[in-house]
Amino acid sequence: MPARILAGDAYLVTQGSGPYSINESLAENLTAQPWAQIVSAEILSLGTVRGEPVVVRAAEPGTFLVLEGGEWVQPAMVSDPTAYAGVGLVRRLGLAAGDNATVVGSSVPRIAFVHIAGIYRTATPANDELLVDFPLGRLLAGLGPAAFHSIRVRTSEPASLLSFLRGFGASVHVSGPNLPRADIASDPPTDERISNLILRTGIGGAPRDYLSTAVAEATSSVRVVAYGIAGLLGVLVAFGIHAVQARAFADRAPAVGVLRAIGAGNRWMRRRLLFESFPLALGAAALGAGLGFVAESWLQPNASLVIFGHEVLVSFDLTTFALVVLAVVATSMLSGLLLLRGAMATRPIESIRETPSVASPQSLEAILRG
Amino acid sequence: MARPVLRLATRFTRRTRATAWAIAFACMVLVGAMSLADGLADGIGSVTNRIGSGPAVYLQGNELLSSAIDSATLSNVTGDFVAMRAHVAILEINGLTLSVFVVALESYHGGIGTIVFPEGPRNVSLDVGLREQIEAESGMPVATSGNVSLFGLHLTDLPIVAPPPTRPDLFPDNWAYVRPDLLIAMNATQGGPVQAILADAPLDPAVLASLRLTRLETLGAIGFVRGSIAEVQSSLKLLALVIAVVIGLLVYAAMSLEVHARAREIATLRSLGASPATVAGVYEAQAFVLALAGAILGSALGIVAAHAVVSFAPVLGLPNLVILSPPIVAVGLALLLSLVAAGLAGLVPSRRAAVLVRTKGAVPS
Amino acid sequence: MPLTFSPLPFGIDGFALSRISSDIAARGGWRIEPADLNSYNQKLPGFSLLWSAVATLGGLSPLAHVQLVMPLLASLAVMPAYLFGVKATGRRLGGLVAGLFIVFFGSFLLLTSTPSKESIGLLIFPLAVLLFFERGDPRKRALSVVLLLFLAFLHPLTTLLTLGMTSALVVLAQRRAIARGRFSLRSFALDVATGPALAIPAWVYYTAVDLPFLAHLLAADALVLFLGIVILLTALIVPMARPARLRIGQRFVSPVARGILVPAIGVLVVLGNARGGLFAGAVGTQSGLLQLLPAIGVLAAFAVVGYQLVRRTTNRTNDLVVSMLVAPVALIVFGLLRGLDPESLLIVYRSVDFLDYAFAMVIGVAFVAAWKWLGPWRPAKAVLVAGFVGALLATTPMAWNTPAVFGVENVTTPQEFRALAVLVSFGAHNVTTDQRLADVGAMWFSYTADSSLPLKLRDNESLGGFQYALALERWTTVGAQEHPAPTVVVSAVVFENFLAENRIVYAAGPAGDRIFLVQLLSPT
Repeated sequence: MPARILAGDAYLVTQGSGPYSINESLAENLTAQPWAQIVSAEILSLGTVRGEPVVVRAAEPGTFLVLEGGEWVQPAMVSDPTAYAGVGLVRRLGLAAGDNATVVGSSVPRIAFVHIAGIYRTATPANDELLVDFPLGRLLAGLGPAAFHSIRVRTSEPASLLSFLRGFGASVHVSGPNLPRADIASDPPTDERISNLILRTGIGGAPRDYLSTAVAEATSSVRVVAYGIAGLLGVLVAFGIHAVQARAFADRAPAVGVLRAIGAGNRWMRRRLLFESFPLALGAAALGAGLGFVAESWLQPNASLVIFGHEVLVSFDLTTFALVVLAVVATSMLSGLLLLRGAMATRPIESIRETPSVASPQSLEAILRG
Repeated sequence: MARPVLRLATRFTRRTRATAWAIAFACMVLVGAMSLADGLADGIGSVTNRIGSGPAVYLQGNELLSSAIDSATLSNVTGDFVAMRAHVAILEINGLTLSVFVVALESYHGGIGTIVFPEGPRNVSLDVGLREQIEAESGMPVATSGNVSLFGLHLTDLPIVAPPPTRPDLFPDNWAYVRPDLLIAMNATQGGPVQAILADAPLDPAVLASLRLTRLETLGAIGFVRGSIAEVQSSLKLLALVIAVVIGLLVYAAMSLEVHARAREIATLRSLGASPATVAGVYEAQAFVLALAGAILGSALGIVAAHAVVSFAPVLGLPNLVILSPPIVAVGLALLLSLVAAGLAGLVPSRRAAVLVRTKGAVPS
Repeated sequence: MPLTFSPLPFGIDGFALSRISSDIAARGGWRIEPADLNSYNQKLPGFSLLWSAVATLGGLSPLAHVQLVMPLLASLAVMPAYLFGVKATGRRLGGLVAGLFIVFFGSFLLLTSTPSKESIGLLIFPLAVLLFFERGDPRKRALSVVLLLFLAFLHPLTTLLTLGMTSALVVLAQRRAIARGRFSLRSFALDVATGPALAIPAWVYYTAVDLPFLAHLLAADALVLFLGIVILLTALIVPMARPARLRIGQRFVSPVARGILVPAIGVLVVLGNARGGLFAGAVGTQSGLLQLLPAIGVLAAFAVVGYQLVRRTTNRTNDLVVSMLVAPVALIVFGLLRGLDPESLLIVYRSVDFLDYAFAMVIGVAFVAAWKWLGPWRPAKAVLVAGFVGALLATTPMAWNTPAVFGVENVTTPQEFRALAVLVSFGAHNVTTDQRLADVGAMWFSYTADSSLPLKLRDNESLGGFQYALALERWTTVGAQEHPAPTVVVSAVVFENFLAENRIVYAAGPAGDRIFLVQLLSPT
């Protein structure tokens, strides 16, 4: 699962290859540590509700909302709540507080019913999830009593977290902001590429944790396809930019020859090209990228994109905008320099001709014999 | 048409090669994008099919509690299965008022249903987990009788009996079980229909179609992945449609430019004695040839690019389940789009140019 | 050189081929037995039939003497290289240089030292291509057809690549004919029928004998990918029917020409496989190969220069060079794009050596051009010769030190062979060992053994179900071979404990490199 959904901006502690360690004992001990600001033990189940993919998270509601920076839209109305729904999920499935829904098991076949007792809102992908209690979470995930899938910890002292876990004797993997994955009393996770080969071909039996591996690789697959299509479109865009610039440059090739004939150096030519074309490229790229964001925002209310149970929200991300502009400008500059290089490779007198004169090919034997 | 003129019209110059490459790149994007999108669905589908799923559970619609299968039709369903009725009820017991889920199970064999438990017509069997919850909240052992409110009716002093002797792993342990007759007797309209059919093996598709049943994937991860990919697929198909339209426009523009640049050649051909129809035909043919060459080249590029993406993604930390298959539809669409767009592009300008030359009096007819 | 290590075949394929040759000699005929562990090689009887005939005529032992014949094959392979070199440069110096390259280039030397189907293939395919190139003479065309048909019974990869080369020759020739207005449908049909169309009888034969190789290539997705690559490369080589346009004032050789792309990609793949294992589940690039990169770089520089000279001038070998480069490149690209798994690695590294004759030609051209350019300056010429020969000799570890360079052991010692013979002699069942010994046992003795013993020892897994084990002391040092997976090193302590817990039935070999036949007393 994407790290953003699994961990958010907290440190994530998951089970290692040793004895089962993600349990109530570890959670309680972590909570007691002074450097642990928030500790949220959780069980993640992937399933469907009313035919739609939904992430069902078992967690303590109060802790969960603090961690996600959320708030109650409609707090629990009965004393025995079984589930809370995020606003995004409510909107997507047409749910309301007081409704009942069927949920299914994650990695084991299960059917269960939940009563939607309250509604919450967050600004994170958790807005599209269903929050349940631990007994139901364990039922859906097939976990034993007192077991969890993961523990999220918000702390400003990750070193203390690692040190504690080593001392506790837990077999875990730890990952989080600016922290390379740490394997404590555990082998590193199975080589993903071997598991991938086994899953793709079906040869070699099932890899360890095949279901979670399959889900993880399914999310990777979506990213691969998205990046691939983006890459292909990028190639087309680059080709288009180069074609347009080549057409424009074709008329100015004689000018290049004349300038060189009257003494313009190569470096001066390149500087001139960059100076003239950079503002145009920058303006065009900014305009195009801006139009893209505008179009996206205009489409957003009517055409929401839901991926793996979470709605992809449109937001003006300065980094993405800058990257797109940078890519277009760089492509334009590179294309211009390539065209100029081609023009500079010809003698000035040749560049004024409509068709470049080429040397008649010589015989290799004649060259080698002399 | 004289051979030298034909050769003149069909020669590949630097400009025509550039046009063909433009068409090729456009087709590359379409074929590559559709290959990847289809490969995603195929790959995930094959893996989830191989992993398998849990017991077959069928319902009408997409929410089990809202499903209503006519019980009279169950006798037509072949094979062994369990008919399940499930409703939300209020249970009053041990001084507590609890919201519980009341379930009634009926086993069918050879079209005939039998009810295994509870034995008595008014008995309510509380499962282990529900009993523990009642005892924990009330501090007392579970009473031997209780009240149930369901369908707007309030039934009192219902015998509370032991948990069911067996329970499928599929179910949780906090349900209350009653006989189907009780539900039917309380309200035939709401209590009569069955909410779900549970079978060990998949049912006959014809039966499913006749009863308008859909399968509920009880192994949620499989359903989650399938549903997620279906969502992505619809977005990708829309994207492919947009790309197809853009490509059509690109090809049209490229060919229009190509033919426009040939205006002088058209005049030359007319002066050599070619009729307007012949000139238009020659350039139409060239447009088709260029479009075909570009589409074939572009399809090859798209196929290779898609394989490159899928092959090298794991090296970049993205092991994936995209399994590519021959993109017949994508290639066909690329060919069709290119040929139609090129044909349209070649038609209008060349006919106009051919006619214009004649009306200018450049060539005596 | 291999004979200094062991008189037995260098590489495990030799055992299979010798076994089949021996069976042919014994039976007096060739037969395919689907249940036989060597059935794959039985379906490709070219080498075995030839060797069986030679061994029978010469009174030789198919197993004991096969390695003695390999130097003869290696020396014969020089001839087509010499011919190519002379054809390309018009000078015997060019032929000498091309021949030297083929003799001493480590990767090629390894193949001609190893008894395998490819060894003869590498001798026959350049002749077939050269004869097809000169198909204007009907006798040469007929002989090329014969050789192409024979190749199908020898080695499918060689057949595929040779047919690819002939197809490229046809494309180039017809492109030239169209440009000159001399296209003839009859001539085109004849070229296709005597060249690429010979894939049909090969395909029919492979389908008839159910050759696994074909199923992988003809799987729908793989075939579409391969066709896509073929279309792209065809579009790429069509303009190569003519010399590249050289603008007035432009040099013949430029350091940033496109010709540098192919060697650059090759280096990237080698380095990429060294760092993270480009091919999942397969052995990565060994440090021994990385140490050879500078020498390979020197030879690549010669090749890039020679390629540019060939492309930018008129000559008799442009078509030969282009066609002999494009076919292996197509298969290498296919191997990289079909999915980076062990099978892809196999396709890539097996295709690389089919580039060697083209490299020999262009290196010959570059050397002769440099020789001429240096004029009367003898010290510089001496440096040129020394540099070239030195670079070539520096690549020879690829042939005689395969464990360090490729992570593969090709030597089977007489002690190992004897241990396998002992195992077979008392009819032991349920034997476990490593991949190399299991394969030798299967190929020569028709003996089935499990090949996962090193993995089980490393992972402390149970050996229940096995009665005997064949273990090598070197597993604790250089590691056990589990090709194409990486070598598995077993801890010395684990190895010693394993021997102590079970009964050693047979031991042989020098200290530090002993081989043990062990009877398993209880599940580990």
